[in-house]
Amino acid sequence: MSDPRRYLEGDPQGLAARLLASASADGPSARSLQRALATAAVASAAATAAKTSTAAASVGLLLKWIGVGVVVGTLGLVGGELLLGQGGAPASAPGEASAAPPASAAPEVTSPAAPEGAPVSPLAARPLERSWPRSSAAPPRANAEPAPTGSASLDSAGPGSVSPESVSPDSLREELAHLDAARRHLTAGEPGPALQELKRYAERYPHGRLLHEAALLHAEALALQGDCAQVRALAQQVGDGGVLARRWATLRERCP
Amino acid sequence: MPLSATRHRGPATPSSEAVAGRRLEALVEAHLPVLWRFTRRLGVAEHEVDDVLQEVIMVTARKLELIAAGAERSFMMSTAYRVAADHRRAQRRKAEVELDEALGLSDPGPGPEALTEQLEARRLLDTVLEQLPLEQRAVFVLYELEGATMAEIAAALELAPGTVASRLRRARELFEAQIARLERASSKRGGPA
Repeated sequence: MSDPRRYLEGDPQGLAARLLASASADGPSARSLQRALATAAVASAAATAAKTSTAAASVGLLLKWIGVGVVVGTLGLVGGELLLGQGGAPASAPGEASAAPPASAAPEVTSPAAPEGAPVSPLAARPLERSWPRSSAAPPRANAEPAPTGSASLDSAGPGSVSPESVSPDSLREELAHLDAARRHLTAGEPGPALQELKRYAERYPHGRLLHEAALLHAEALALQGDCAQVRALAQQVGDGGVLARRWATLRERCP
Repeated sequence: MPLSATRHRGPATPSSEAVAGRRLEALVEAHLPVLWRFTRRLGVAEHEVDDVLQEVIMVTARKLELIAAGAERSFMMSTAYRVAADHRRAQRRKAEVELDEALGLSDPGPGPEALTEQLEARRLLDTVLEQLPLEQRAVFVLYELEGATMAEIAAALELAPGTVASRLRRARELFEAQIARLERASSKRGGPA
């Protein structure tokens, strides 16, 4: 298959070459690029959400586990009084319990107790973990996240886009920035700062779209601290599903 | 730049959604211009190109894990072609703009010198391209405007090499016929095309 000579390689003064050359300077505007990048951020999150949809229940459990006191009921490791008593911080905001959707509230009170001899979670002694808010009492995600601050908007999103109510490209970027920072700390062997970063993430995005990733990073930080008991407990709650399964498996190998 | 060329930004850690997000973002940054031009030259109205590309990005995001490294651009071009074709069908455009009308034969409109202006040239190009069937137009645009080889086009559009060659040949014949018509019309008006 031999490629014929292109018009643009021929006489540059020829009409064909001139017309074709006129298109070479054509291209997307800066606004188009911005919009496309925003779409990419949203699409990536949406794809992730789709892949991990089967683990939705696990997310609920994870969020509860992360939340203050939930770990108590789920794992049977420590009592709610202990959590409250040691942390000094309120376990939950007023009205949380009543606002919790039934599906996610159930495990908190009905999940089986942890096996006897299970490691006691140091969660209660850690301001970091206690600071993760409960998800079960949360209002809808969009209402809990910061409003978009940039000009990128999905109001005019085309087919296939997720709804503007559930999507904020700017907040997604900020979520990613938190997790990237945590990851950098982990790479540098600094689990403490990583956990602090994850704490900030959780405080700002209690219902963020990257909670799966955040939980995994959280577990990786715990593993780096040698806290395998919590890693195992967290892995048990999150489950194996989703696109992070391989990394969870690696963690479990480190914390058999 | 060859179709297979891609640009990646270094991921911080492998196998994470964040990395996938950055990969997608890098792909968009790297290939948006060619995708935009391709979609536009396929006849999608300028104000609708962004919508079409949004869908391309969404499709790419969903399939990202399945796209081999180095094949992203081809995948996105192929997707853009299909989405643009669907879009055109959905729009049921009747933009069968007659070349005579575009040339302003019935109404002299701008003089021949306007052809030297880029916007006018681009408008004429789009008018000429509009005369090509979409499947020929896609091959023509990729070959003549984006510098893709026929092998690359075959891969991007999932066509047999022979099909690419025949479509390109027919597209060039039609294109040259339209160019000749433009030149005749322009000379009738007393100026060089």
